[in-house]
Amino acid sequence: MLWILGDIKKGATSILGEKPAQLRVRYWRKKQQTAWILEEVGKEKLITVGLLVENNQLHQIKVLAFRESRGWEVKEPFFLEQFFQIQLTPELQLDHSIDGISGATLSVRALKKLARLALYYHMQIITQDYSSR
Amino acid sequence: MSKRKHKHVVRNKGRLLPFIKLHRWAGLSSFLLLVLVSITGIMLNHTEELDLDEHYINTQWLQTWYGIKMPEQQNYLKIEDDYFAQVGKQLYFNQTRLPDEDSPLLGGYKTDQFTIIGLKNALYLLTPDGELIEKLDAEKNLPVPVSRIGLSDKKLNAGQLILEVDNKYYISRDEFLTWTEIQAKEFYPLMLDSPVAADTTFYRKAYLGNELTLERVVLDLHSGRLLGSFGVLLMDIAAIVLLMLGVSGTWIWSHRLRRK
Repeated sequence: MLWILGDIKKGATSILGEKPAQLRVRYWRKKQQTAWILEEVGKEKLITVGLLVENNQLHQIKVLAFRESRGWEVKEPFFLEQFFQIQLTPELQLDHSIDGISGATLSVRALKKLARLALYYHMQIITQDYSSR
Repeated sequence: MSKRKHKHVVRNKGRLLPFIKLHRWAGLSSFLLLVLVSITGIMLNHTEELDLDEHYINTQWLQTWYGIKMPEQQNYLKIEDDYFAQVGKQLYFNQTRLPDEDSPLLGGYKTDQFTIIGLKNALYLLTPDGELIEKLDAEKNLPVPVSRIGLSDKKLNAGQLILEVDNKYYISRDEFLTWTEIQAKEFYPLMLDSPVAADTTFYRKAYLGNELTLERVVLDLHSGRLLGSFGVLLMDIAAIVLLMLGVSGTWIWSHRLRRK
């Protein structure tokens, strides 16, 4: 369980552009791998996404629930493949650009935010690990 | 102009006159509708830029016209100085909206660490100030459907939260991460307050003000549906008149060309 408080909350707020909806996030961990289920609003409804991070790189991303009426193309592998091995820059941005999909701008934006958030949360877990040693 | 040609023009003009009159009156009568359809059409073409779906109509007569009224499900809960309200699927902590939840509110209480709100299919975990920590549901191991929520002790701070699900009792010992079935010896159910206890004016305004979008009204103005089936018929007639205007205008114009 990761509590989104203090500096972590500030980082998450800068990624999301608003305060995170919840103050604690559940995750699964195996050595340097963490798995996250995160949600973000596309246009009107929540998109639920599963993300697997390993060594600060995104290894897998999957749309688990897409509730919007438009923009479903973000579920397709041709789009999601772009996120493979993507990393976070010190400015909390993705280290390479993601091509958009016309008509799915807001869903693409939501997925990019969630990818950044998962990478950021992963970094916090690893950092907490090192500092507690 | 020769006498013969003059005669031909006068005869032609006489034949055209009813069409010109019809064209004029049809044009004038459908002008307002044409303006309405054009403006609403332009607005609908730019729905996203104009954020039409994010603007809500708060005009009471329009809400009444659309049949928007307060839902049957209205539950209120007062915990110390704070209010929780459930209006339809909308949930509020005082005046802050929480994520929506359809299932009915059952009760809640406050400890030094948490404010806990129980619903049939979800549990809201908040800070004492009302900031959402986590919404728990079946996907997060919450046993559902909860029929009652209660405490193991009469004193709020001493008691542990107990969920009653299908006549079984569940308790969490790890800050609501997992739930264990127990044999509850004592169970003090938490109850709701009557709506009278809460100031319902805000919730009424908040609920009704979040139902009717500007996009829906513009769309209905465009199609005529704002006036029901009569409005649709009116727009159909206006569309036919517009078509006829095009035809009659072209016909009159071609006759005048020939005349020259």
